Amino acid sequence: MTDNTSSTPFIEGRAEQRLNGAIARFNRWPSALRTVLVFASCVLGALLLLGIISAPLDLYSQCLFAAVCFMAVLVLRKIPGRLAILALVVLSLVASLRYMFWRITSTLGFETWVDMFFGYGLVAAEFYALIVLIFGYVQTAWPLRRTPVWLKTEPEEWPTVDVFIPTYNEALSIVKLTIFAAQAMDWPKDKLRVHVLDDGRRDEFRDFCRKVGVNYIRRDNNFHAKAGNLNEALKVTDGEYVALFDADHVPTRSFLQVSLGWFLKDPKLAMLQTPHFFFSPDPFEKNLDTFRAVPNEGELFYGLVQDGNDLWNATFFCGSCAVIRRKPLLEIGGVAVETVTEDAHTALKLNRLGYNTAYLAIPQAAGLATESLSRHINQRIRWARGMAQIFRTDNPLLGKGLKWGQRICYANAMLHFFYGLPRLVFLTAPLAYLIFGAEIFHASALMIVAYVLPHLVHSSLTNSRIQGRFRHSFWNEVYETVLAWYILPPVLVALVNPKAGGFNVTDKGGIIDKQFFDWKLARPYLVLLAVNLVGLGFGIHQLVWGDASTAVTVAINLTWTLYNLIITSAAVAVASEARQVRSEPRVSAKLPVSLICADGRVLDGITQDFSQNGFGLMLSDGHSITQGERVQLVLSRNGQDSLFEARVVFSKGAQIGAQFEALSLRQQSELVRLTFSRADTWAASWGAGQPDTPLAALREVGFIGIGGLFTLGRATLHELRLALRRTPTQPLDTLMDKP
Amino acid sequence: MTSTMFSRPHPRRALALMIASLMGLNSLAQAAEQAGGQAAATTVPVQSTDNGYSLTLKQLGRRDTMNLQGVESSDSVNFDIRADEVVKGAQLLLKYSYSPALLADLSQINVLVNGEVAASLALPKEGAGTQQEQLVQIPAHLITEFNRLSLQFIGHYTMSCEDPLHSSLWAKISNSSELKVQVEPIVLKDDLAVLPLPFFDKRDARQVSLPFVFATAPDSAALEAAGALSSWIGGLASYRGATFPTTLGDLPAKGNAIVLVQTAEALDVHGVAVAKPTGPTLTLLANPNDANGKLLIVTGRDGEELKRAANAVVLGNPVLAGNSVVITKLDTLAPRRPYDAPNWLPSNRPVRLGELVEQQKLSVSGYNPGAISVDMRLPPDLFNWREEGVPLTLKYRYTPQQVSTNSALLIGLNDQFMKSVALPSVTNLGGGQSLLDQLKKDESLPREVTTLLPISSASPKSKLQLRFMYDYIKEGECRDIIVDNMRGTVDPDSTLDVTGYQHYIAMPNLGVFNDSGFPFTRLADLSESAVVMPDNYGTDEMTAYLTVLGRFGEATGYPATAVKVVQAKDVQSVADKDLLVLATAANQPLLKQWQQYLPATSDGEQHQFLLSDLPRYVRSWVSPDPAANQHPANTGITFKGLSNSTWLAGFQSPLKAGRSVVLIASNQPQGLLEATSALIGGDDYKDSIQGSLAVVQGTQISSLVGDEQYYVGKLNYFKFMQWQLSQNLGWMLLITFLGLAVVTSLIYLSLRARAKRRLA
Repeated sequence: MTDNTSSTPFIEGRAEQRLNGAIARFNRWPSALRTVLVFASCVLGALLLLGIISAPLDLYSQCLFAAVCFMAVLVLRKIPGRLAILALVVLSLVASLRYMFWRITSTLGFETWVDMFFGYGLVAAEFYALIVLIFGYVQTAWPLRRTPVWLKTEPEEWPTVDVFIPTYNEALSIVKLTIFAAQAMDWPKDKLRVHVLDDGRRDEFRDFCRKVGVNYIRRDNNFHAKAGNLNEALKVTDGEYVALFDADHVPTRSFLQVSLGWFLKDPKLAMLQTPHFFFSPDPFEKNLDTFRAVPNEGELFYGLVQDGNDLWNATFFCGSCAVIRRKPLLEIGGVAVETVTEDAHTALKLNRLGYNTAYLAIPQAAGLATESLSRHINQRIRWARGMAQIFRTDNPLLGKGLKWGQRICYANAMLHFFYGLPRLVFLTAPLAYLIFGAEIFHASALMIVAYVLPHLVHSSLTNSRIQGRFRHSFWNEVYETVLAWYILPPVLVALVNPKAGGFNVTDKGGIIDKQFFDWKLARPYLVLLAVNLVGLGFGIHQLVWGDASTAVTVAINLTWTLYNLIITSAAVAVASEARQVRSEPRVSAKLPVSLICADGRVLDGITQDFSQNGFGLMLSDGHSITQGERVQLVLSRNGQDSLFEARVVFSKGAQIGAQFEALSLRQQSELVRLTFSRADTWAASWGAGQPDTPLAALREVGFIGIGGLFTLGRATLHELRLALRRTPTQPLDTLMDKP
Repeated sequence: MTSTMFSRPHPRRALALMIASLMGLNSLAQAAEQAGGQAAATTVPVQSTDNGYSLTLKQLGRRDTMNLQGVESSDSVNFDIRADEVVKGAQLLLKYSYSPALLADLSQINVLVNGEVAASLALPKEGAGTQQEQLVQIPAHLITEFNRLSLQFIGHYTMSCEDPLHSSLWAKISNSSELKVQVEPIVLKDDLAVLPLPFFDKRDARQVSLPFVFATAPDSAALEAAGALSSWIGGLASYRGATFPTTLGDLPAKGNAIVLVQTAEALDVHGVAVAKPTGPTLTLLANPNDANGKLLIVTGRDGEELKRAANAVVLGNPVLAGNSVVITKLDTLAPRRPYDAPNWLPSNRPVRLGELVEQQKLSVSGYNPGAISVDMRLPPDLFNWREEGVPLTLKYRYTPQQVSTNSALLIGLNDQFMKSVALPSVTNLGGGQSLLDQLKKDESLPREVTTLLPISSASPKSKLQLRFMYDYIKEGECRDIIVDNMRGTVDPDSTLDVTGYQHYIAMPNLGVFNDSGFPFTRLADLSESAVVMPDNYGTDEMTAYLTVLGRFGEATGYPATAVKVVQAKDVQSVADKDLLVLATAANQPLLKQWQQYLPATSDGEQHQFLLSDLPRYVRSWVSPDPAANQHPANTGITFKGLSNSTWLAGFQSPLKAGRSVVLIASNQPQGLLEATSALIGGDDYKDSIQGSLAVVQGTQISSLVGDEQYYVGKLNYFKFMQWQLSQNLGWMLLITFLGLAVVTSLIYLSLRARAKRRLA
């Protein structure tokens, strides 16, 4: 499977080698001539593309042109290597810019105010989408694929590292895991200082820290939330490096050894980020049942975008699973407190001072994903608001110290969160014609198709090739549709007044005890669904009984509406919260274990999954154990065995479930070291998702949409039945946090 | 366009007709003509008797029947009397019909001349509904130099309450009504100050025919001098058209003439004694054959002086005085620039409507006044591709009605409706008290509108029509009193802006040659043009030459002071000019030399023509897309026969790329005159000259081939690139993939280098 180089180490293909040959010959020429030639070819290339972008074609020629370009894409898609990807990007830009040029020069002759309102609105949304597309191409043009640099010096010479674990309201049972894992990291004991920064000021935490021997830091206020908490801790610590983990991010043992090498190699490196990996499904994965099958929302960012940012020296700090050099951090005045996304802003400030940031795409920590849609939305609202705040107060396109590559990467990260309004525009634009009869395109329907289709198809296929394993086609639309309505107001407010709005904390780890449909949350999608259905009705009516001359236009708008309906129904499907039974998440892992039964039998098995409190495992050789029996679990590492007392709580043939009994702190720590902390725990399932095939993805999204409609129907019936049974209805309890 | 289509309902028959006439099968051609029911149009010659002439209303500019409606309405035509004539008497032969519903004792048609009643015709029941003819005597004393003949209709259909706009109140005056004028000549004095009188009199609406007399066989320079003079007269003659019959030495028996004399010694030209010239000399004297006629004697010792004398006439005539002058100096102070012909819309600045039409014509009154018509000549090579139109900024004033629903200002171009601008009523304006106060001071309301006028299908000679239409809302019986206070005025400051257009046109295009003399007239003084005369040219060839230059003058409004005339052997000396080649029979060597470029040859009895599908298309419509005008030759025909074949062909100059050649050829000298009359055109001609090859047979024009091979003019780089790419998908794809390869490689290499640096 080497057709997708974005997930494999960079290997040059035949095309690249041929180019290298040409360049080698070229490099023998005198340097002045070379400079002139490079400059000339830049100018030539720019002029050629300018010509191509601006040349207007009639319908027939445009169709032919698009068809030839499309065939070129089909060929290029099959060619491995980055050269082919870049060619796809250039072709896609040609198609999109041709469309936009045509759009602006030939389709804006609006007659009435209604047309003008809808028309210019749509153009603005399209323009935004185009900018984000272009910036996105820049961002992901060349994922850097940094590999770890191993520490070559003796451990005595390794620097001291402060590990900060900020917590506010997370349960000890969750934070415990992180603390144990942090202690278990492979680093000289005298140079590894673990600090728990408790903003919740809980004695339980203080006592626990004392018992396990980590530093406990508490402050007397909660100013600036997490950023303030970290800054407070910076004052009372003095290690050369700071490693940060959110309370629910469990690092592996190798974290520091893998991360710190680059700091020693590059003295200007101020921050190194590793991916956030989640061992529990996020609400999308949970509610749509796509865990590990479809790349989740975050995978694009950590799998591709951050790696692409790294090329431009614009890796963002993400608040956790990162190492920061103390000196530069103090130079910028500690973690940024001006915005609610202190992490990205901190990285921006570091970059502005000329420091480097880096990204290492090896999962060295794992955590819990937000478990309910409402919390997920809350988290995204915070990010969106924070990014909008930065865009307003410390715009990366302006100000000193940044290279243009960095500016584009930062700007795109912020612009990305402005998708709310454009997404809603795209979801409703065809209705302007179908319902209100507004002519938002001043051009013939076929002409529009001839121009817009290449734009959409090229960008979709190109992104599918670039993002393949990290984001499947059409899922972006689903993710954005779910969030669009919710992030729109905070972004607008933050743009108008960056200081408005509070800070909210994402609380993780909880149980959703029964499946339910989140009516309140789904309201915007239901409205969108309804208006699109109305539009569909209008459209079909016009198609059947309307003027035959507009049939093509109506058909095009209907197709668009149908697509919107699919995406919207998929969004509705997300609002149906699936059950989550375990309070501690289970991690699937296949580890060899032995069981010592009460009667002395020693049975071998393979774990299926594990959590802090128990194991699911499969016994080998057809053995079985009766339910309720006490056993001792033996986990071994480097020839050393560790024993854990457990009781079998579930048994079915060779499959058993065991629950630990009264583990001591030492044992708990040992357990974490042997399970969550294993260096290879997360890396194995990283980027191993199914590569994208656009048609399959469309089918998948389509089925999910149909499922969503089905669920909606069932939920409606259920509500009706409830309403009939007891009147008046009680207000539905939701998990929506107030922002 | 519809009218064109209807006028040519049988393209097949037309084609048959054309081929038949081509083959010289005259009888067949006639048969076809009769079959087509096209009665051979007979020209209406101005019946010029010894002491007078008669003109129909049609000749006076009334294209359609006069339609008089309502209780009181009138319409009028202008007629002017030449300065060298005085009117002895006049009659109007009125052909009219009127409504049978009229009350005989109240209804009437009044004939007014310059506001005075010449006659009042009763409208009795007997003749109602059928065409009447009546000869009205017009007292000679009412007629002055400039006259207005008005016909006023007063009609009533009932004695009680009347609807003033009742549809039964009508009378129609046929435009074949004739005005007969008896005149006596008066002798003008021999003073150059009266120029261009008597050679051209703008009061005379008839075609100008001015004889040119060469005292000796003219050389090229003399022809250039004559060309300047004929184009000057052509420009003055404007819509009337002008021909220049040429003689060698023979003075006309009657009337005026221009005599060119190139002599170093004293000379006697058939009774006119020319003194030994001391330099370029101009003399105005009576025609010895006709005391009422005048001769302008243009004299020079050599060709150069003759030209200077001629240029002094055409450029300096407003300041010349006396019966004879010697020109001592004539300097060209600034060379002409392309497209600066006075008649053409300037393409370097917005033009104000006040420059194109007299100010009083921009004001109209009444509920439904006629259209304000602004004649304009567009530069013929405006590049229409993907242009939306010419911005027309109209500033206008109108009288807002109290109540109205459909009042509008209609904007049209060449009788095609373009746009309608509402003229809102006071109620619709909703301006409140301030508006009413404003209207008290001035009851017309100034407004401004900007609109785009698509000129893609407009011919170079175009007419912008602005028409105020007020709707009349009936008040009910006995309450309708029409107070005719409705006014509409277009501000002369309104502008038309063609600066956004670029000059670029596919050639050859005989259509623009016919309409505007393009490409020769690009420089109004023809300084980048040359005329190649046939060897041993005679008077017919010279007449043709002068008439064509008269056409150029008509197109530009500027005399051809810098035209070059050469012989075929000297053609290399004018290689860098656009060439107009005249050829008759075998006396033009260029026909042989350039045979490979010619779409037609005609050598004695041997005729050879290329044909295409062009005649099968609607020909008067020129598409803005050059590709649609391409009708390259797909058939060749050769035949033998004693027939007259005259043709015009355009092709790229074999001497220099981008330069044009227009060839006017015939196998006999008279044929050239057929070609020049076809260029002047008129009602007799059903078709116009188009394409790259057109054949003239009498009054029948057949455009055979439209083969556009090259382009003239200049586009800016961006537009040129856009245009080339959009015309040529192959290039487009090639450049896309070339650009793709270059840009992708550059990006690849730079990103790879950056990645290496990042990981170093």
